[in-house]
Amino acid sequence: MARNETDLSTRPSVAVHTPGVTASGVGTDSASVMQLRDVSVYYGNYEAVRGTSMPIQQNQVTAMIGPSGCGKSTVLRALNRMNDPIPGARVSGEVLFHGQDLYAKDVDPIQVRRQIGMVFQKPNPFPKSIYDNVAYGLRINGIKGRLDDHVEEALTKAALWDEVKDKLRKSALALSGGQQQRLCIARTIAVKPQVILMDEPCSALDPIATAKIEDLMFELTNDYTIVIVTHNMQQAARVSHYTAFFTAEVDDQQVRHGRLVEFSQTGKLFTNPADKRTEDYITGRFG
Amino acid sequence: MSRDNFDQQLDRLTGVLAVMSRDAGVAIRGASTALLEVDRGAAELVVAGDAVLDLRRAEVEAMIPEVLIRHQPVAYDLRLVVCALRIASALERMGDLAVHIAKIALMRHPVGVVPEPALPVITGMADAAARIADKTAIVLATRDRLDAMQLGLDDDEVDAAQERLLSMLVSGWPYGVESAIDLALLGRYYERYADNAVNVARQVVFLVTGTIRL
Repeated sequence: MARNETDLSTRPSVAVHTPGVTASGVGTDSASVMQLRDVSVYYGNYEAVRGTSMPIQQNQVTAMIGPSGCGKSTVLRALNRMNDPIPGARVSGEVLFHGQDLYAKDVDPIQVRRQIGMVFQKPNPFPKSIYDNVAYGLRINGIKGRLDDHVEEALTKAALWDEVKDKLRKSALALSGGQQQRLCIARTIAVKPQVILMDEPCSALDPIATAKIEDLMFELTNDYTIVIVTHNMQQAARVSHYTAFFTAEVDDQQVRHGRLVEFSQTGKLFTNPADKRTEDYITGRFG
Repeated sequence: MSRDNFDQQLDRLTGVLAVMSRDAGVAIRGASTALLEVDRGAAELVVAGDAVLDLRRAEVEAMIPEVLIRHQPVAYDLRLVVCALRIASALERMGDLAVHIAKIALMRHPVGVVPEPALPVITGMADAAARIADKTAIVLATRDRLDAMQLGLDDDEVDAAQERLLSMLVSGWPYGVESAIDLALLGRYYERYADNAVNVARQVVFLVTGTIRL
């Protein structure tokens, strides 16, 4: 790593386990790449999410679900300091990546986002060619080697290569929505991050394009760790290994705060949730 | 999110199971009457009535894929749907076992199947089976975990009676081989009836707790 920041690329072999949340069925055998420790996110004086502690397991898909306003996207964005540019936004607690706090003073947010990439709800390709969309991040990061090979590798991993290999110089905006989203995933993985954050990546896509992205997520866990925010509970049940359920709670002053209610293995959470609030939400008795 | 339609479907499902459990109880009582009171009419009713239990099981089996497709149930709802399938199967099997008992009575009619020395033990099994049927219906209605677990004790009583019956049959049974086979089968049918009721109770425990106990 060229810069003088904390080295974010080292991978510890020791699993870290976070107490303080219903973590049923979560063993300490699989390593966690990230850990949230009592993380609260503030917008000015408003505490949007309070006291979140949970692990993000390596090479697994972790889904965050919950009703609107429960803070799941806020927490997701806190994982790669995407809230930083919002005036007044601030994080307390620790967001650990391989044991190092991403909000420590010497950490460069640009480096954080290189290691922890993000795919957004709406596909947002640059108004450039398909090739340049993928090559862009490689160029600004000064990645060595043959650019063509890196672009092909990223597009192949994003399950898009066969569909675009003959039109790499065509505008990315000419692709379908599902293809654009896979292009954005290719752009994200081109710079070889360790973690990919996905904020409702399929909500603008039709079922077939959604199925392709979901298949892709499964493939990507060979190389990456994925955290996905989704409104679609069936999607969380289909794609994730672990699920975190958030809800919005109203305090004594009638102010709403997002809170993590339950974190557990996905099969467990959807067949036998430990918390009644989880049960009520996923069975449609609330929300 | 409205659950009205979903809740109606789940209610229908549990309603069918309740009727099935009642029918399985009626069947075992009828079979025991046919057997112990040498009552041909009772036996014929049990045999004829079994078709209804088979139909209801088929009804449950047809409802479940539809519930899964329409509502993608999770948590308690999902366990209910999975359990309903197994419970319907066990209740239908209980009906079959009552039919087997009734058919032995029919086969030997107008001669009685149970000689005097075996009467107490067979009567005991018949009473226990009827009691187990009642408790099964109650457990299905109340979904009380402790009551469900209690059913195992009644089942132990039937198992012990079957052992007594078998030891009677192998130690110089004076009524011939045919009678011994009839009684061995009867003991087996009551015992299996009770076992299936215990299976229903186990499903209720799983439904309520979400954990499988072996």
